[in-house]
Amino acid sequence: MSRRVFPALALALLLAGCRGPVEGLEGDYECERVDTGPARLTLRPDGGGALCVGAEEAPFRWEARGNGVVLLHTRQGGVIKVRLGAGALELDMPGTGGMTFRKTVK
Amino acid sequence: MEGGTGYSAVGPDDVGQDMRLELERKRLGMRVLLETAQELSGILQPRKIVETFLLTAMGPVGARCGVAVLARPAACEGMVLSRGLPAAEAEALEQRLPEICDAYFPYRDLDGDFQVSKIRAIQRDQAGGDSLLPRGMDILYCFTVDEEHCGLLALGPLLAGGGTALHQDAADLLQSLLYILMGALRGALAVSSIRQLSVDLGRKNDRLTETLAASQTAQRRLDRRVHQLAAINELAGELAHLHEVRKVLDSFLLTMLGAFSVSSGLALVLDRAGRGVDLAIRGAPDTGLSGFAAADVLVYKAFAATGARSVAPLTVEPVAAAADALAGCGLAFEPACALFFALDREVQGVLVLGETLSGEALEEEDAQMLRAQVATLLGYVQGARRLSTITALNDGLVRQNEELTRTVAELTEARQTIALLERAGERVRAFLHAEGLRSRRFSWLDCGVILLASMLLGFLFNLASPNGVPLVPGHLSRPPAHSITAQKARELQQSEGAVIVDARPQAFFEQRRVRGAVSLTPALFDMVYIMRFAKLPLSTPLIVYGGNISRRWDEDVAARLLAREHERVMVIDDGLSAWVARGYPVEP
Repeated sequence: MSRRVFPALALALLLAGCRGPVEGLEGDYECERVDTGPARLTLRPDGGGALCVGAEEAPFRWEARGNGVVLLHTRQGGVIKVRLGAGALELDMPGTGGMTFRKTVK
Repeated sequence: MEGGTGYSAVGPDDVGQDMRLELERKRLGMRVLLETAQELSGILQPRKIVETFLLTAMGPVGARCGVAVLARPAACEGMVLSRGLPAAEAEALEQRLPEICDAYFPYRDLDGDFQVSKIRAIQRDQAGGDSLLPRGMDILYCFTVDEEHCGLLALGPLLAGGGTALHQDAADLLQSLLYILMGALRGALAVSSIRQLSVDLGRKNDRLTETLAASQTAQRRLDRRVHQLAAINELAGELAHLHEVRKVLDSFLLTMLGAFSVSSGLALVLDRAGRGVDLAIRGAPDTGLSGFAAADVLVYKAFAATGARSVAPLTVEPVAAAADALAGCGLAFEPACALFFALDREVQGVLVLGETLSGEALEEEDAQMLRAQVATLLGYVQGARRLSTITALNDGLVRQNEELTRTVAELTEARQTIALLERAGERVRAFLHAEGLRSRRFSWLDCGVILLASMLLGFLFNLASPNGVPLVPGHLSRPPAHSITAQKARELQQSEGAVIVDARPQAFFEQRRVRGAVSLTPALFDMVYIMRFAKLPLSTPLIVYGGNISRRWDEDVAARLLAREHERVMVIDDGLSAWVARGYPVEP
């Protein structure tokens, strides 16, 4: 009995630990900055996403942590911390300073 | 009357004279009868009647002496009255009443043959009583008054001559007088009997009243006794369910106060060995007798007043003169009755009762019953004390049992732990022994296998990790970027506005960097590039620095910039250290 219960319990705990994106965060966000031009941040429900500036696009994967923090994982292994605040994402990108992305209304 | 004795033959004149004399005698006789009847009718004492009659009868008859007897022949009692006899002879005659009764009233023994209102003239020689009556008393009449009394009238000798026979008129007069006497005696005897009956009734009434009072008193006592017994019976049932000495005393005291109608009292049990006091008090406040010292004084004074020399177990002794004996003991009421009792030499007590509600002292029977009840109380108190002791012992046993159970459980657990540890120790010893034996069999093959497995795991982890180190550094597989000196980089920055790119990780960048440098790490290259460098003209000189022996971030960033078709990408030789060595500005 325990030989079946313990693996199932461990698998359940593992799956519970692999939390996906928080429902409600997915969607498109836009930032209007004069120096960089309009930028769009897309968070997909499957955990993928992309940062688009003009014709350039940088893909990433995202995950929501506690305390209103969203982490963006780049393909090269870098991590960018994003804070949630009043329906907006505040992105602190090295070399470019703080950027505020607001959710676009469909 | 005297004329009655001088009759003789006479002429016609004499006949008229005789008739006149006859009428005169009859008138005189009627007068005598009338006066006698009037005189006797006012007398109620039989003796007085007989005395008066005797005096009255002697005159008309002309007797010098007379004797009248009124007797109850059945009881051989009565009275003998005489007139005209010497005192000694009269006194002797009174002593002969039994003989007179035997001689003249022989029919007294004939039941139912006692003729009432009968007068008999008796010849003396027929009576045979010559020796009983004085000589010369030959006129004898026996008469019956009622069913019990009869009488004798003896007269003589007559004054006129020495004869003893009466004239017929005188005899008739005497018989009429006797009838009057009998009637008067009957009335007097009836009155006397009625008086006697009245007196007897009064006495009986008094006795009945006394008996009734005694009966009522006995009834009250009986009622009180029944009440006491009922209360005591209920008490017995109640005490049987009480298990504490104090409650037993309180219930007992309450019942005794009700049973004996006492307003206040106390019951106290003193345990000298345990220095404990159980006190119940009713109808008065506790004046500190629940303390051991005050209770000890009270019990000692009660014992001293019993007069006993030693304390005998299970005894009850009355306290003599309780009010004086227990004075100064702090009692809040005036003790009227007290009993000292002892369960054993160490446990003693006292029951003190105040005055009764009626103010009367307890009767002897009440005191005896109270003493018997206190003796009964001893059994209940002793039972309660023993039950208390048994309960305490039982509680102690329960606690010890729980401790023993806990100890046994701990010992069992400890034994299991010890057994487990012993098995674990055995296994460890076996494992160490096996490992010891195995260590003696050390081989280089084991070492090689471990090393190979470690390398394989490290390779797989590095391959899977995004931050993994490439097996062959990228800058070795591609042509190196164009390198310039720190001096040249400074000139390009100042002259052509070259952008200095810091390729080191963010932590190094924030710690120290070339003034005006932009952070562009390989890890965040794509995102930072499109935000910061996408709109930069491709001809703008980009000067990259940052690297060490193992990690050439500057070469990586330079290669990515070149891949983005930037025309002038350069790397500073020796990076930031050369820039600093030249003394060029850095920040922060």
